Amino acid sequence: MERDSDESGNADRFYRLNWRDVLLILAILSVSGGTIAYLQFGVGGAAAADLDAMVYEDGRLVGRLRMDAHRRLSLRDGRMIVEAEPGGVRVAKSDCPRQICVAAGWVRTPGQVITCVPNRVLVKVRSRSGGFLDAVVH
Amino acid sequence: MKHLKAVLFLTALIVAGLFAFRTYNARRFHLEQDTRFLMDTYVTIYAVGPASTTKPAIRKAFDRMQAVDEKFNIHNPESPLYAFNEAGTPITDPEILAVTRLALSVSRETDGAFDITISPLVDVWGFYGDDPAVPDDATIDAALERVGYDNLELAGGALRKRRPDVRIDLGGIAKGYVIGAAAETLKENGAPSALIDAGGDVYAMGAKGQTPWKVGIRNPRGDEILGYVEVMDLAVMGSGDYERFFMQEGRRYHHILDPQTGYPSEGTIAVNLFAADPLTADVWCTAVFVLGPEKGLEMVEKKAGMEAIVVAETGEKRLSSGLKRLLKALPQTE
Repeated sequence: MERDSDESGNADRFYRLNWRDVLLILAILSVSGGTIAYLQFGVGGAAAADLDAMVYEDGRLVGRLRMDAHRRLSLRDGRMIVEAEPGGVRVAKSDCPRQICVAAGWVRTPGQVITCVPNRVLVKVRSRSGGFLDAVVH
Repeated sequence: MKHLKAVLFLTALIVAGLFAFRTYNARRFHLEQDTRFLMDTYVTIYAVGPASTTKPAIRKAFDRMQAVDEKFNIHNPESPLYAFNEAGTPITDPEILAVTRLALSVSRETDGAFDITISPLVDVWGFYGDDPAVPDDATIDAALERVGYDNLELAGGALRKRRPDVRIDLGGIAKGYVIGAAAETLKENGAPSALIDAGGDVYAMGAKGQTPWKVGIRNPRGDEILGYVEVMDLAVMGSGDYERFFMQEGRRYHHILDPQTGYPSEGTIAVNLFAADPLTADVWCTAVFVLGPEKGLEMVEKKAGMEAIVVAETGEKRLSSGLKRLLKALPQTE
């Protein structure tokens, strides 16, 4: 009987948590939960360093310009130029007849696009962390 | 020692549980996307769900879009619309008839502000060619004589001409139907949560996982975003004078023609229209543009489930009453 009572006491102590244990569990949970929430929901907005301009030609991805410095991408043997600056991208030059893509100016928000129909080129702003908007209508 | 083991065991169990939960969610809420050049623009489809389901669903949706687009293309000799325009062959195709039926009902409701027989006018302005120009008044008047939705007869399961030289063009509204067809295909193939972005015309089906889709609205005369709307099972279509236009003697001439005057519609520079069905949204978007800010918004207010933002030539932005509550400002970081 004594032995049973000892075992039962050990078991009680085994399962009883003191405040340090609770603190440790809470800390581990907070770090794990926070990391998972961040990865799951992508908390936070899109900074310039987080933005890419994805450039498609004939439906194929042909370039990715980081929108954190001045960069240029030449397309169609130099007949079209896409230009990125910190936080913005535009079509700087195009040989298309109506220049609608050039007139679109700078686009800056994830989801925004510039389309050049005659050259079948698409420039799309994308945030590496997911961005806030899923699409932009215009 | 035993005590520490218990704590470590418990925390390891919880962390493993959280990791399993995240892995499960990552698969369930995985966002698959693909982009293709269709309907003279780039179309991107985003679908939520396991990639094994969403990838083939997106591919089938694009194939369906391509097929429907070809059917509605008036320049495609295989299209019933081509045969109708060139030879007067009655149209019995159920998809074309469904679109035509809605178009004719909007024509009647707007007293001809929206008209699918506008094709002869579009031709004389040259908006489909490389060299559009302002036609002279006599040419416009001659084209106007051939415009009029009452020159069409839809009865007995067929669309016929009442006047031999009448032509129809569903190009301006077929995009809405094509987007709707893609959404149907996605749903049939196990992807009920998706967003279809066809060159700035958007249909949000279901939710993006656990939250609605967020759709921003761009200022038609600037690069800033006017605000955003959270949408589920809603189409947001746009019409603007910036989509297809040319400049002549310092003046902008856009492609949305007024069937009454024969000239580009005046008073509006952009409309974004919200409705549950992409085809309805597309038809009404063009109609509201032509009607102008006053009459257009009046019409929107009468329609259940329809909202709009209309940007007038003066730059003034007018919102329908429901949209005032729905439009939100972007967070500062954007």
